[in-house]
Amino acid sequence: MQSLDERTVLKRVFSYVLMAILAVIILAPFFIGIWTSFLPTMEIAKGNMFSTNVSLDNYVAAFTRTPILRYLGNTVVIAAVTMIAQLIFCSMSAYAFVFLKFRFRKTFFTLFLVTMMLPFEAEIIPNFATIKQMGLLDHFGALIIPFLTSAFGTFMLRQSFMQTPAELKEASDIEGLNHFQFYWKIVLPYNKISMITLGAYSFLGAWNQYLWPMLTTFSNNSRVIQNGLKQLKSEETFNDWGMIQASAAIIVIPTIIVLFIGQHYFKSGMNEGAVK
Amino acid sequence: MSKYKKLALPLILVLGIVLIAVFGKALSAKSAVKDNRTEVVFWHEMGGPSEQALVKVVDGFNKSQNKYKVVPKYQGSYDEAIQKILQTHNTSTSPAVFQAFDISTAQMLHSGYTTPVQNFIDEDKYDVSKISAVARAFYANDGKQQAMPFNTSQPVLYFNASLLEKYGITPPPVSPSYSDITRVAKELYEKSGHKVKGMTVQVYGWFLEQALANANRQLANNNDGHTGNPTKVNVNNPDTVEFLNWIKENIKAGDFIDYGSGANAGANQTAGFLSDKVGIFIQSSASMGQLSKSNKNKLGITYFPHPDGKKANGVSIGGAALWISNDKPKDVQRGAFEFIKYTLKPEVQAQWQKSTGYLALNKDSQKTDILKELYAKNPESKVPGEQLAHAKANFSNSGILMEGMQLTRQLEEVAMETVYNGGDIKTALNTADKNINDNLTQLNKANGFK
Repeated sequence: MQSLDERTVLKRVFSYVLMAILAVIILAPFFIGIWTSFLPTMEIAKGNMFSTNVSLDNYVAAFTRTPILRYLGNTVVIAAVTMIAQLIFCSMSAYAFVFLKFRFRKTFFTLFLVTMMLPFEAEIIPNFATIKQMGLLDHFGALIIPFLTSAFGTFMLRQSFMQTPAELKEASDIEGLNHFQFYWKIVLPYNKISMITLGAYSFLGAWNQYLWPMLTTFSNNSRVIQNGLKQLKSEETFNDWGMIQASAAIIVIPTIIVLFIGQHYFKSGMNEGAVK
Repeated sequence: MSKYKKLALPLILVLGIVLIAVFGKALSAKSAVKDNRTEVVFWHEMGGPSEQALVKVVDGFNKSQNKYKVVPKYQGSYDEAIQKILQTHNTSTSPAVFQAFDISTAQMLHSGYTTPVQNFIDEDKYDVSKISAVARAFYANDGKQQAMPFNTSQPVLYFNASLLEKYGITPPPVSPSYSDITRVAKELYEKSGHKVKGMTVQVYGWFLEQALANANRQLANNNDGHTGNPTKVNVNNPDTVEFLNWIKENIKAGDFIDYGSGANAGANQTAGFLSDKVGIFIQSSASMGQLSKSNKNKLGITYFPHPDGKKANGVSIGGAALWISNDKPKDVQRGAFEFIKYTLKPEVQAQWQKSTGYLALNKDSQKTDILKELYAKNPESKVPGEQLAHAKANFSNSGILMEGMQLTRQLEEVAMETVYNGGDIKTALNTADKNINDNLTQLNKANGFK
């Protein structure tokens, strides 16, 4: 008995040590990044990481000397609209694939999946040509319209909707709910967790876009945050690394907030199911 | 709680719509505000502190006259901007004047999307003799000025003068040979008790090309592309071998430190230099601002080193030039040229050099108070400008007018890296030659050049 206890304790100690080491490895770059954002650029250029010359100057400079607030605003609008649109359109199409019976349903769904197999980078040239012809270059439309829906979102929600008990559908038919009522009042609340997951996923996806906005935006008025970060760096001359690092820290904050909110909902959703 | 949840979705929706309305309006308002000035859209790739300096130049131009209004728009890195310029040509978003970097010159020229600035120079009888000849030659073809050099830099050699003083080492001459640098590097390494590495040369194709230019050797045939489209590249030549042998000798002696390639290598070697880990390195003259501002040591600068027993031919330039698009009406193009002329004024160039570290191209800039004060404060900051003024333009030091330079540089860097890691020089250069030529043949075929 005694020896067995020791073994479990050892095992536990070992796994905690291992997890601690992994946590340090994974979090170290993040904390180094945050730490350097408080250091003056000269200390960073010299590789002097343990300087005690800490201040908020870099953050003040980032907010006052660059249009980072404008970029944050642009990105919030684009990411929010993309997220809402994806939630609406993906859930509606997923609903059709699960609850409506029509011919070629499977074929259409396969077609949907095919578009998912193609990486976005492969569609850049045709998409760019389309946007150019529509005259949407350097416009919010160019950053939103190609992402109004996503095959992955439909796929994910379809899998989730399929888990909805058939009894609910039958019960709602007896109650006389039409498709839209059933969708809005039963399917969506029932699949709240998947919806929130997709929402967080699409928001972060839009937030972290780099290549597409880089190609289609041409001025500060429509630029998004990731490209704005690139703008803080000059090609060949002196760089203000401290301010760049501070800006990077600023633009990470919203994504962390989204993740925390998502996690909170995710947890409460799981508990609800378990208690019932 | 549930009430709050019900409200959440519509609230977000409304908020989103309001935000779009506000920002959308701001967007359209921007184009609605118009005085009778002709708008000249200017695309550039100057980020960070250089962007602030550039905006000042633009503001200065807009205040200096009331016919044209230049609108600067940042486009991303040099490479990205090239694609954007080519892909948006003939649309309403395209620029009237744009900044394109050195190695895209052939691509821009062949695109047929630009109006040679020579046309306007002839019209105005504008005197270009004041503008650095080496810089002009880089962007000229068939004796016609295609674009006007703007932000220009040259590679120079930086050394830590304080360290040399401390260990009693004679500094290298202002135009050093390879063996001059080897001597200093070795002495520094030995006398510091192996604490300070002597030198480094970043794995960067630009430096290899500059070593050839300085040795008066052409990399591509047809005079580096200045008298016809290049069809053959010859990296494996005695001058490249001598350059790489120089580096190899120092690697063997142990006084060389390799920081690798890419932008991080540049940042790391600067950090190494500033923290006394390495005594000598080669970098763009544009880095000078950073090196003199945050350096507790005395900074020494010399010209780019040249092979022993040969006269330095002078290095070519790097940086970017201003081009005029031909898809805009005459008066807009005229405005673009007026802006270009403004950027080349002695005072504007002097201020540009002072605030960015790029070199002033107008010879009269040296006489302005702005640069005189700068030189009085940091006498060594004179050196890069002197190197530029010293060089006489010929085909070897006027850049390589060839498409596909981006890939060529990558392949040159592969060869350099192989040698740094102990590989055989001849084999590495032969491989580079073969791959560069294969790529060139393919490019020429694709473009329909003979």
